Amino acid sequence: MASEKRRFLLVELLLAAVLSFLLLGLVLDRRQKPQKVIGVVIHQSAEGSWRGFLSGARAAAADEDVVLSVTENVNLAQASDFEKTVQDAVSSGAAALIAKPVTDGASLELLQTLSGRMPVILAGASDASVCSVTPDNYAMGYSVGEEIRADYESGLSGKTLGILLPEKSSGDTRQALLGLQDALDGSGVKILYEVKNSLTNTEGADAVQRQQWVDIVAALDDNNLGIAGDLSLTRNLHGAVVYGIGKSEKNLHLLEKKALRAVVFPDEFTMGYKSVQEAARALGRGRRPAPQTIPYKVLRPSTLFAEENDSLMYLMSR
Amino acid sequence: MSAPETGGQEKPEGFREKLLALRNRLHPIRKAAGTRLRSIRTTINITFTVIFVAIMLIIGLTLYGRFVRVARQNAIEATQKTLSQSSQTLEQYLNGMRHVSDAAYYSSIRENDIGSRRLPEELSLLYEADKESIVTIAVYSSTGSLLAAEPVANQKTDPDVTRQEWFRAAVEGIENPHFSLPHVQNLFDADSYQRVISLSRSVDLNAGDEPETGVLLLDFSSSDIEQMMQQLSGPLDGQYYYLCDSDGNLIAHPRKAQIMEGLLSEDTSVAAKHPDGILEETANGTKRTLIIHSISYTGWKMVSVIPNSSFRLGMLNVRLFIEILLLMAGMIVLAVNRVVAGRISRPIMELNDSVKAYEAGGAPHIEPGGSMEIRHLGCSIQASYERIDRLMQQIVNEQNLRRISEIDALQSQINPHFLYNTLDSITWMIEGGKNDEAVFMISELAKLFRISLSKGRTIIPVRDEIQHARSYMNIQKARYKDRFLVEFLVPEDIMDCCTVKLILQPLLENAIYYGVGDLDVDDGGKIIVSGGEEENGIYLRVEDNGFGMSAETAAAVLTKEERVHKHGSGVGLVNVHNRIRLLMGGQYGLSVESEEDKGTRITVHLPKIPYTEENRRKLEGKGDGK
Repeated sequence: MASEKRRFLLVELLLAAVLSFLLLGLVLDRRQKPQKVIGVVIHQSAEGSWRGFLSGARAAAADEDVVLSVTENVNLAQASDFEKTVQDAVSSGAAALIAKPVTDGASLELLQTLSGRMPVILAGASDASVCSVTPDNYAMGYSVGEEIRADYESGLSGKTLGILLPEKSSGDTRQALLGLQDALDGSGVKILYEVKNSLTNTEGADAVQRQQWVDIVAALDDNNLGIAGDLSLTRNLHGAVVYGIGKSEKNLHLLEKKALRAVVFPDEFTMGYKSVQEAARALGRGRRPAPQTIPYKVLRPSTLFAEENDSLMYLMSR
Repeated sequence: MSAPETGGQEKPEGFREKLLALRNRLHPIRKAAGTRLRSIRTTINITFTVIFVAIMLIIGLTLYGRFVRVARQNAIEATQKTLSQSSQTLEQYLNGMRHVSDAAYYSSIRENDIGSRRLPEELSLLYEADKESIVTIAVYSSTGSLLAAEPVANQKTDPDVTRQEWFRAAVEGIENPHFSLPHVQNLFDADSYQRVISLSRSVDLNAGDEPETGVLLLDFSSSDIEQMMQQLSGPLDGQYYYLCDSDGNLIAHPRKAQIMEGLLSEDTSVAAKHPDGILEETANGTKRTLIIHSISYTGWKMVSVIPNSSFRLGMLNVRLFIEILLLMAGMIVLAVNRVVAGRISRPIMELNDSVKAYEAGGAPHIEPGGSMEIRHLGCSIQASYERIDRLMQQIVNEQNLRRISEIDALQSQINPHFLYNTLDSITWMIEGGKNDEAVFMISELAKLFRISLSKGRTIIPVRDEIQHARSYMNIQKARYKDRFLVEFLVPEDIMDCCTVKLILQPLLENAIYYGVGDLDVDDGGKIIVSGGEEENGIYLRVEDNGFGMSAETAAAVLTKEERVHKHGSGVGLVNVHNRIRLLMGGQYGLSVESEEDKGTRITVHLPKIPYTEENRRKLEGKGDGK
C-alpha cells in the first residue's frame, strides 16, 4: 500500500513538472520574442554609392527577422571616431556588427577584438583577421584590363594609360591594381600615371585634369570613375577612353551616355544581403560568420538594358 | 467408543492443514507470476487511467485536428477575400490606365492631325490629370519615330523603340491594348532610372490625307503595384502575394530583388498555368497552399502563397492549452481514480483479509460490507466456510465411527467369552463321550472363524454370511441344548450378492439373549433367518418369537450409540446399522419391529450388488471415503 501511494505521488509530481513546463511555454509564447539587432556602420561616402548595399541589408533583415541599426555617412577616417561609433552601436544593443571598409590599423584591431565577442563582418573589404563579405578585387581589376584589351584588338602598343586610385589605397585597391596590371601585362600599353585622388566634384576633376594626357583612363574606384566620366562627357579628358570599377547609378548614366566605355560593377545588393544574412545566421546558430565572395558584372552601353542586367537595373530603379 | 469432542467454531486439525497446504500450493504461483499479480485497487486504478488517457488523447487530437482545419479554412477564406479585393483594386487601377489610353486614342489621336498643336495639348491634359501614376504618354510612328510625348523630354540618342517588347506587342497584336512586364524605361533622358509598365496599342494616325498606323504608349509606374504586393504580404507570418503573367514571369513580388539576384527562388510555373482556385504544391521542400486569381484583360495572375506551416503557427497556443488541459485533467483523474478504486476495492480487500485470516487459522468470520454483490459474496463465503466446517466435522465423525465399527468387528471375531463358552461346551462333550457332537462343534467353530477372518475383507457374499450364521447358531444350539429351533429360509438367487461381514451374528446373538435363550424347550422358541429381494435391494431378516420389546425400546435400539450389553459379544445393533450405512450408503441399514411377548423382527436392508472382486473393492473403498 505504501509503495502504491509512493508511486501515485511520483506520477502526480511528474505530471505537475510537465504541467509547469507547458505553462512556462505558454507564458513565453505570449511574450514577443525580442528581435536581434545588427549594427551597420558605414563610412562617409559619395551619395548613393551604398544604396544597393543598404537595400540588400534591409531585405536580408526582413527575411532573417532582425533589426538593423544603421550609422551611415559619418566620417570614420579617424580610428577614435570609428571606435566611438562602434561602441555606440554595441551599447545600443547590437548583437553583431557589420562595418564598411576600414583601412586604419587601429580600427581593424578594434574589429578583431570585437569578433571574439560577437559576429563581426567587414563588408566591401577583405582582411585575414576579420570575416569579410567582399568582391574579388583582383578579379575586378583584371576584368577592367580585359575590357581594355578587348577594345584594342590590334594591340595597345603606343597607347598610354592613366590609373586613378582612392587616396588611401587599401589592400583591396592594391589587389585591383595588381589585377589590372596583370591583365595588361605584355599588351604594350604604357602606364603614364597612377594617381591617388579622393577629392570630389570640381576639385577632383581638376586633380585629374592636371595629369598628363593619355589614351585610356582606368579608374579603380567609384568616385574617380565618376570624375573621369564627367570629364569625358564634357570632352575635357582630351579624348581619353574611360574604364573602371563603379557602383553608383551616376556611373551607369555615364556609361549609358557612352562617357564610360566599360564598367565593372560589384553586386552591392548581394553584399548587403549576404552580410546581414551571415551575421544573423551566426547569431542564430552561435557560430562564427563565414567569409563570402560577392559577384560583379561587366557593363557596356550596349548591354546595359540587356536581360542579363535586368536585376541590376531593377535595383537601380527602386 | 464415541467420537472425540470438537468445539463449536473450532476446526479439526486436518482441515487447517489442508487449507495451509492449499496456500502453499498457491504461493509458488504468486512467486512465478511476479509483479503481474496486482491488487484489485491497482488494477482498477490502471484500467480507469488508461481508459481516460486514451479517451482524452483521442479527444485532444480530434480537437486539435479540428482547430487546425478550421484555422486553415478561415485563413484560406480570409486570403480569398483579400485576394479578390486586391485583384479588384488592381483591375480598377489597370482599367484606369486603359481609360487614359482610350481617351488619348479616341479623343485626341483620332480627332486631331498628328502634326496639329491640339494633340500635344490634349495629351498634356491627360498626363496632368494622373501624373502621379503616369510616367509618359507618347505616340510613335510605325517606324518608331517619336511623334508626340508628354511630358516633354529629350529622347535618348538611339533608343530603337521598334526592338522594345511593348512596341512589338502593339504592332503584332493590333486588336487589343497590351500590358508589358515591368521594365526600366529606356526612351528619354532622366536623372534616374524609372521602372514602368507599358500599355501600348496600335493606333490609326491622321497624317494629312494618308492614313497611317502608329503606336500609342502609356508608361505608368510599376511601383504602385509593387507596393500593393508588399503591403499585402504581412510581416514574417510566411504568407505573401505575388503577381505574374501567364508565362510565369514575375511582375511584382515582395522579394523580387532577392529572386532576381538569385538569392531566393519562386516557382511560378504551376500557378501561372493553373485556373483560378486553390492549389496545393511543394516548393523547395515546403508544402504550401496557393490561391490564384486572374486579373482581367491582362492574363496576369495574382497569387497568394500560404506555407502550410503558417496554419500551425497560431495553433501553438491552442496546442499548449489542450496539452495543459489534458495534463490537469490527468492529474485530477488520477487522484479521483485512486479514491474511487479505494472505495470499490475496500470491501473486497476486507473480504480478502477475512479469508486470509481464516486461512491463517482464524474463525470463519467474513466481513460483509460494500455493495450488494460483495455483501452477497461475503455471506456466501461465510456460509461455504460453515458448511465446509460441518462437512469436515461429519467426515471426522464418520471416520471415528468407522474406526469404532472396525474395532467392534474385530472384537466380535475374538470374543473371548464366546470362545470360552464354546470350548467349555466342547470339553464337556468330550468328557461326556459325545465325541461326534464335539467334532461337529469344533468343525462349526472352524467355519465360524474362517468366515470371520475372510482374508481381512469387509464385504463378503451373502452365502458366506449365511454360513457364518449357520455355524454360529449350530454352536449356540449345542450350548443351549436345543431349547429353540433355528430355520434358514434364504433363497439361492441372493446368495451371491454383496453384504457387510458379520452383520447377522450380532442379530442372532440378540435374538438368543433377549428373545428365545431363556425359554424352555416346551415354549417352542424359534429363530427364523430369511431373505429375499425387493424393488430397492435385498433384505435379510432375523425374527424370533421370544419376549419382544416395547415400541419405545424398539425405536431406541438403533439410536442409542452406547448400550450396556448384558450378554453376548457386546456388538450392538447400532454398530451393525452404522457399518451398513457407512459401507452401503445412508439409505440402507437395519429396521426393528418388535412386540412384547410376541417376538422381534430385525430386517437388514442391503443393495442388490452381485459379489465380484471389483464390486467388493468399490464398496470397501466407499467405506474409506475414497
